Amino acid sequence: MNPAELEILRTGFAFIPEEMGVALKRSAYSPNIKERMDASCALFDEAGRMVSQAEHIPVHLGSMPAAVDAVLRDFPGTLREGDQVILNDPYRGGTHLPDVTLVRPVFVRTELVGFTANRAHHADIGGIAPGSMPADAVHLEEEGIVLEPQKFLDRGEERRSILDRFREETLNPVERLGDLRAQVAANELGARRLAEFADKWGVTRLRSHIGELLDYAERRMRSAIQTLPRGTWAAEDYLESAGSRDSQKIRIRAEVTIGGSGLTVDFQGTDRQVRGNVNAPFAVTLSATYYVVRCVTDPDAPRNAGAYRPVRVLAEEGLLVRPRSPAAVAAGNVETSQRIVDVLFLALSEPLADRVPAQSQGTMNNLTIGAVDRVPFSYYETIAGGEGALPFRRGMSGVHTHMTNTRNTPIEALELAMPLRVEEYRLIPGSGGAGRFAGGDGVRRSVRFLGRAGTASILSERRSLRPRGLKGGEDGRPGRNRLVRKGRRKTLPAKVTLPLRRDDLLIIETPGGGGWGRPRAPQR
Amino acid sequence: MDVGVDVGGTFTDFVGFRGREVVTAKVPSTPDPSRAVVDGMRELGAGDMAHGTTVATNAILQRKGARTVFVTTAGFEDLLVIGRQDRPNLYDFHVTRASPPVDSEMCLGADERVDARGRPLRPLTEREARRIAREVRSRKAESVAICLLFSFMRPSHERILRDALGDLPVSMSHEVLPEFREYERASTTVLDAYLKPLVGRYLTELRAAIRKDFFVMKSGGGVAVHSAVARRPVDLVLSGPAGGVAAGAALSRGSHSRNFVTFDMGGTSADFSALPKGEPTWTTDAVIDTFPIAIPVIDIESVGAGGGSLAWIDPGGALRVGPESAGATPGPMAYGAGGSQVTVTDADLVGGSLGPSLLGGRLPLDRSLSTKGIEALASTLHLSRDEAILGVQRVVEASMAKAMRLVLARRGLDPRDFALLAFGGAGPMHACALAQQLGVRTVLVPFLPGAFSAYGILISPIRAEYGRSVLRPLERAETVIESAIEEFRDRAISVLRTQGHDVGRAQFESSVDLRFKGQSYEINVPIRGDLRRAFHRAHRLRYGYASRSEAIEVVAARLVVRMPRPFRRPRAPLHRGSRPRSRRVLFDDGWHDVPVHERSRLGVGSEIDGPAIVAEDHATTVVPPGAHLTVDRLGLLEVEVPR
Repeated sequence: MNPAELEILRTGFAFIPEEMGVALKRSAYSPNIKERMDASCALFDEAGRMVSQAEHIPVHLGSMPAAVDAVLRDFPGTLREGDQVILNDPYRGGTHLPDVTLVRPVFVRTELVGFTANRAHHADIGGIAPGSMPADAVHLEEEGIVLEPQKFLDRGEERRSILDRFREETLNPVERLGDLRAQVAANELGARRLAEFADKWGVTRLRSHIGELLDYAERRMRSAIQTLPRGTWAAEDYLESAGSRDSQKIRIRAEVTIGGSGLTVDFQGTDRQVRGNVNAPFAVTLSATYYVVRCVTDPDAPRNAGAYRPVRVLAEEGLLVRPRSPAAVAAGNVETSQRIVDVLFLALSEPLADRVPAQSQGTMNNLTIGAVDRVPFSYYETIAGGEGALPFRRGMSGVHTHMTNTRNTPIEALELAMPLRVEEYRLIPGSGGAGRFAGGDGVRRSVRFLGRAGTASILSERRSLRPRGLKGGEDGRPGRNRLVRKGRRKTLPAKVTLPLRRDDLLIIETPGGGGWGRPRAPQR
Repeated sequence: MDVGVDVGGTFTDFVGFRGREVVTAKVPSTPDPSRAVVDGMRELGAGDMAHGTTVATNAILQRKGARTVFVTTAGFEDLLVIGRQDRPNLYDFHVTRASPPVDSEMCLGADERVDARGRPLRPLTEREARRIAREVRSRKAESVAICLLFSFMRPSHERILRDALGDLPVSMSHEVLPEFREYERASTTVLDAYLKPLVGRYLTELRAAIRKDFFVMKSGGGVAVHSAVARRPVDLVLSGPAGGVAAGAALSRGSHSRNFVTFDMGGTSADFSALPKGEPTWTTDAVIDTFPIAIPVIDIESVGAGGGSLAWIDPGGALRVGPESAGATPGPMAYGAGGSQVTVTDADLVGGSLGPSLLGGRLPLDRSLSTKGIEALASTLHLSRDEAILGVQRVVEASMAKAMRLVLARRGLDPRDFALLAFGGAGPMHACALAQQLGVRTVLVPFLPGAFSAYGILISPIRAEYGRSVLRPLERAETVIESAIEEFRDRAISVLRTQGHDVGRAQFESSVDLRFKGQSYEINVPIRGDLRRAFHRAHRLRYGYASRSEAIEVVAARLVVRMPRPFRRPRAPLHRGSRPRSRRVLFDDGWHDVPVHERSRLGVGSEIDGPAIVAEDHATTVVPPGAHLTVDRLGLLEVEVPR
């Protein structure tokens, strides 16, 4: 294939998931998808190899293929036109329960030519706390409805049993069903586009084109890896806790080997899975690894299966980064993923000193507030913090880093819809570590609860272990969670689920990023 | 004579009518853009003017606006830095946020708070207003933006602050954009304040130079008198491509009320906008340099693909084109001004699509330089020369195809149901090949394709938009909506009267933004008949269903006022019998000897089979083999493209 045809093909395949994302955002019902864009879409070939992806947050980067693998395994040759499979089980293709994935097979006449898939974070999926991110869950079932791969659409018909589960077990079923239907429609659109390609070229040429595109991505990745120094480097870092009643540090260790045109990451030496929700399903571990590799090599390489052929990830089952069912996992996706990134960058900070950042805030500061009161509601937000400084610039302040990039809920939108009031939302000056380039500053967001009785959950990290500076840069300031009740302040643990009373004020302070390079001596 | 004037980066275009005779001029743009405008007006002996300008856009991109202070509710001073807390690129650490036009030390917090129902939780005192005024002055502000939380529910706090600021230029968020979502409202208000002194100066000086009031093109389509725009310069920011869309919409008043997408391809970028059934489309999600402008503007998708776009090879060995451009200097290799990388124009020249000169002969092109570049590119890619030419053309078309799909996808529309209306210097040359990639059947090339935007500016109606957040249940909103619309209408009428217009000819369109309670996005529904039923219908169209039992909420009331201005079309040319020259042109299936027709000699009803070229002063239409061209009764070229 000539270099121009290749580029036209790349653009064409890349646009299918992108258009699916536009459709999903356009027709979705919840702020979580429309405002925060906590969703991703992807296209696969008939063997489950990812062809292209439009992810809005990196944590979805490497985790979508597991969903299609699970569907191929559970429905060998039994899917038909008009079917769509739903799943969220982290041990069978999912990541954590709020992330609901829909997979649609695409047929040309009766021949399977590929799959379209999309994943969206639902603001509530049942379980023991509103918002489905309970701090102290140890068992998956406590975190919400578990959907092993099953047909949501059977020959175009919605299955009642699944709709009923959403109606009975989630807080805002109208919003849930609106989002699910938007997800179905996005897959339909992608399927139509892939079928058009198959019509244009015929199935045989479609397959060979996909093969070429994967090879191209592999070539780009390998040529980038080839320019890196060869060798093996290791690093470790810690999660602070597995839950609110626990303050045992949990170790993550990784060894990165760059050799020739390939790269291997081995998580040997990482702690075993824990009683708590910080276990990271292997799909999440893959996402974090792919993210780091992409950042230090070729950020624009196509996101497909070919690009990851040069990358090997080794982790034994039963580790924190590859847990066994039925361990709880809600924070694995949002917190542990960030720490895996920290460890991998730390390992690469020596050979790739010209491009590796100091540690960023290293948490997503997940805050969920809900009530099953007169007017039930659920609110989910992840709060920005400081970015680690780079060897060539300061870290950004009040920004989402690494594995997420979801937007905030506008304060006015929030207060119009829910019994909440935001009293402060500003940067914390000086919270970023000093350095030749300073780390970005963290944020203080204070939210007052105005309802009668509610529940809040906080899942956060870096409340005691600071984001580290690099090459002599200073550490960032850790975050802090506080509750003000009737004028009395109380510091809360990094992970906590607590009942809220009227006028309670939650003050979340997020960590600053680490600085890079020794700070210059103060001028006299 | 009225003229439409479009000030571009390289050239300033003029279009006017003497009777039904079109008069055009193209003069080089000047560093002080008004010089070129005044010169051109004098050259044509023109009187009245409608003006499109990028002065506001450039001021933002180059950070040349006023020293601006931003005042918001205390506790939220960092609103502009944090924005929506996202970063612009997921994986590339070299891409960082654009710095806001207002530095952190210029952001002030006022001690006050209004709640979501408009109640003052902490009233703003006169004393606090005086403190803020002192702080503003000590920062030597030239302009002030005020955006307080929930000011659209209770504007009095913003007004108290304005009153304390004396005669400094002030933009208040409840006036600029009285709608919820504080960051988008703040960003829009800040840009307005940032531009006010500079745009005011520019328009006043231009007014003095031409000694007459004039109209200015706005981002939402339509024009407004210059003094109104000076008070609300944010309306100007994305007006650049709006002229072409306005011209397209005007055509649809003829027999062209069909689905089409405007395709304006120039030297550095291509702009697309969808006009389903010939009606323009708007968005409130526009951004400039990552800063939201949440007022309704024409929905345009822009891509860095133009005649000057550079060809390059990526690390995986694929041929890429753009978004980097050779610009006006050094320009394409063919300009002979030192350009050393192949551009789309070079490929077009060597492939024969483009004739031996640009600008009606004033800019000769050097084919041998382009050929050298193409041959070097071909040998690096292990391609033949012809494959390299076609490769550059098809790759730039692929990136444009994506932009066109995107502008349609946002509305759930399909390219195959649309025609392409191609204009701009390079549009008609690439339109048919682009159409083939998209499955589009019809390409339309309007009259004056090289100055179509200026024509659009000339004939655009006067337009004003009014809007306000309402936020209450539909069944309790009737009187609020009525009184808001009534007030908007009164304001509009008094403005039109003071400008001396015949109010009887004004067109009013009132609408409301509705949603199910609890939903976070709204649907705009015209006020006509049963609102509830209209909303259910629109909701079903977008979401596939609509619940009858759920409560509906009114989010905002809106009024658009349009005042038509004189509308003319150039006379369609009489058939004068074309005596085409001939040129070798490369198509997908190889080289063809192709007749080159003069457009001015193709009368209404002329028919030509491809391959063919239609040449005119500032544009070239390429008709591929198998395509069929007819000249319709308005003088538009209509090309049926084979599948």
